[in-house]
Amino acid sequence: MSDQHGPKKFSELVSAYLHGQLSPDEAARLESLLRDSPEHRDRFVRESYIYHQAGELMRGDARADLMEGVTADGVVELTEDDLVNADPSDGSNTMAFVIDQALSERRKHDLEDAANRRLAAQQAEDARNRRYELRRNAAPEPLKRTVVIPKSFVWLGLAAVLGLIAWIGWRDTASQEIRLAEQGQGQEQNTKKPPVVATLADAVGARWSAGPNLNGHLREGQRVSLSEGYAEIVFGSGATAVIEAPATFIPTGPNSVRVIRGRLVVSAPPSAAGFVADLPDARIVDVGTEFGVEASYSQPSYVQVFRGTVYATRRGGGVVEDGAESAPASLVKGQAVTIEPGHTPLAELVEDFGVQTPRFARSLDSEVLADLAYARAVMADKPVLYWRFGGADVPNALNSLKNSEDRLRLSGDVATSSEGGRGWLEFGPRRGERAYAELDGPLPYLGGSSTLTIECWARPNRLADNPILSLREYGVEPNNAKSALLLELNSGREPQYGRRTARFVHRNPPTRDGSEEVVDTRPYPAGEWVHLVAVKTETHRHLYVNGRHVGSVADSRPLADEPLALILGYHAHGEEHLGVPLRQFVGGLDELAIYPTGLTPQQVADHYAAGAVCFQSQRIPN
Amino acid sequence: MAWVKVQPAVFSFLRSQITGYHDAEDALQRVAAAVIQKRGQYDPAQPFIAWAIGFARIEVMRYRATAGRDKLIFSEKVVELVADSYCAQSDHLREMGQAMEYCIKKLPDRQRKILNLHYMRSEPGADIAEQLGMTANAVFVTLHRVRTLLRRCINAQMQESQR
Repeated sequence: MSDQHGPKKFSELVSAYLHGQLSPDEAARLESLLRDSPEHRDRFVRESYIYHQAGELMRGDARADLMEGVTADGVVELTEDDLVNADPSDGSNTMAFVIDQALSERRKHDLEDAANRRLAAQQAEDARNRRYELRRNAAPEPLKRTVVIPKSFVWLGLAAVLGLIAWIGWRDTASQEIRLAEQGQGQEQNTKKPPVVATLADAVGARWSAGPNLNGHLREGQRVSLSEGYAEIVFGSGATAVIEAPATFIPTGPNSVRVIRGRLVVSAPPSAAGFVADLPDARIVDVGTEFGVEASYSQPSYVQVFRGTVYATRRGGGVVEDGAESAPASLVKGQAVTIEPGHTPLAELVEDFGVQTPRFARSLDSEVLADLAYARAVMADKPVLYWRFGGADVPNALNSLKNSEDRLRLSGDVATSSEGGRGWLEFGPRRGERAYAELDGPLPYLGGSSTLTIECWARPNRLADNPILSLREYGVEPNNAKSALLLELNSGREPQYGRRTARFVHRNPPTRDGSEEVVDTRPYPAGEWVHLVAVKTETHRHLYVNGRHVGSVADSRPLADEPLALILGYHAHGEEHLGVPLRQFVGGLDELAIYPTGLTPQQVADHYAAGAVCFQSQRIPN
Repeated sequence: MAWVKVQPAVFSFLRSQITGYHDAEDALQRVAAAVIQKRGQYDPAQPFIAWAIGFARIEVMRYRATAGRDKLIFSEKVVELVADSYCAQSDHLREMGQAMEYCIKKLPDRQRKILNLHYMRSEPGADIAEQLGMTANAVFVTLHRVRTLLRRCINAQMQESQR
């Protein structure tokens, strides 16, 4: 050691480097020492190793070697002994990811599908065979069988120990019962591990702050925290839960879960009838159904039923105590309840929810998640009317906003259609027939407003005049009614209008024609979805097509302060061709939202970006 | 399986060259994936650590190609030399790791607490200092001393095991 820094100085340099506190000069000196001195390099490596390995040991990240279980086809098979011996705090996340990578190289989806089927079948069989034992015994006899791991679980090592730390801080504020359960778990860990009661089956963008062990298994009483993304777990009973981050929950048995916070959608097959979800302020018992729950530390819990029936029971003061339960309320498909504090019987709080209220992720299908993301982007900007046209479930084209009774009357050859879980309104008029949807009553909320946004996705099937939405005098025969607002896609082939392909017209007072219009002149392809946004601010009108601002005109007039009818797909003024009105929309219409405010260019761009994921792959249905 | 024996050294190498724990962990996972996928190409006559570190070097170079200049402390030459040192010392590092498991349990409670705050919560020194009623510099010095203690303990344990 002959350099000018001496051993101590080098040690300090390394220490500063490891802590990310090297100045540029110090970095240059360290670089020089490492480049020129093998001895310094070896010391640097040893110091780094101590630093990093200390962190790994503190994290309890032993990273068990499970590569022996990787078979030739990339499927990892673990014996039940592996499962039993695996510690929830075992952070072998790296190997789990390796497994995932190996799978991805070898027909991953096929294997996962097969694995999921096997897992589901296995779980159902286990439920039938073991339910009695699981409920009676703290630690059932391990089965000698193999389990297929379908996907990776990332960040588990850190998550397990962080979960312990989080638990220490959390237990001071959590409910007494949860605290007692956790303490019981801690005591039990000293003697015998709690039984495995659920298994992670799938995950999308999941990050855990306290997660499953390497095998994806969740033990009874294990606190689980999902900090990002989505996950799906399968309980021993066969019930599944789709969880959306941020969420914290505790599987309390093979057919029960305690939800501390977050959103879960539980699907309980007949074999899992009686599934129990304990919320901070309520207990939910299902009788074979699909329902969503949302809980938080500070807000009342919310329960929504998608299929079947559940029973909700209020808990006194939010403390889980047997005997403190009020009379149960039954909720059926389409109903929801917010567990408002107080003593009002829950049965009196049950209400219908909007047909497509985008509150829960019901599956981890990418299209479903994309659809949810779009709806949430819309909802975040607070529309007053929002039709999602969810398919067969909405024959009356209900407004999707909660508690709204605004309905569209469908006239002629127009109906809700659906494909791949998505629904839309399809206009396909026959000869001599008009097809349109009309709001049942005058347009609410907007009379006299100076600002307005109309947003929708439209798929015109022909290059003609395609009126998307019009507002006209309410209560006047269509062909005599004056027009107040029109959003229309055009053929762009009418010489008197030039090459306009989309236009936004506003008239106050309503007239038959006139008014300067905002137009787009770029052609649009028939058969593809187009994102249209018409914005009326206090001073201007703007038109956006596919997220792009295409034009604006000055317009300081407010919306007509008189009753207006809202018509979709048809404009009264126009000629007919081969028996079909020329001002008739032919194609699909979806995600129609009306806002009382003017969306900003950024909001429009964000909506388009979110929606393009949903719509870009959809063309004219066969 | 040789991987479990060399993984701590591979991860330490990655951590020493990649800023950010999660980025390093992602890189480690890719290295492990490559080890699995290409295990048929491994020549048992060669040191496994060198083969595995080879994948880690690729990950470091990939990281360097995308990371900002402010995150690159060393030149590529030094990265290569450090990787070689990890390979050359792999057996020694593994023995150190075994000794560390004992030594870290022997740390005084306060020092373990500081280590815990530093590693588990990734808390800045200032936050740890506030929690423990220390100055940030004192926390830094304490962490440095903890590693010194660990190093001495490790050396003692390794000498003990060689008797």
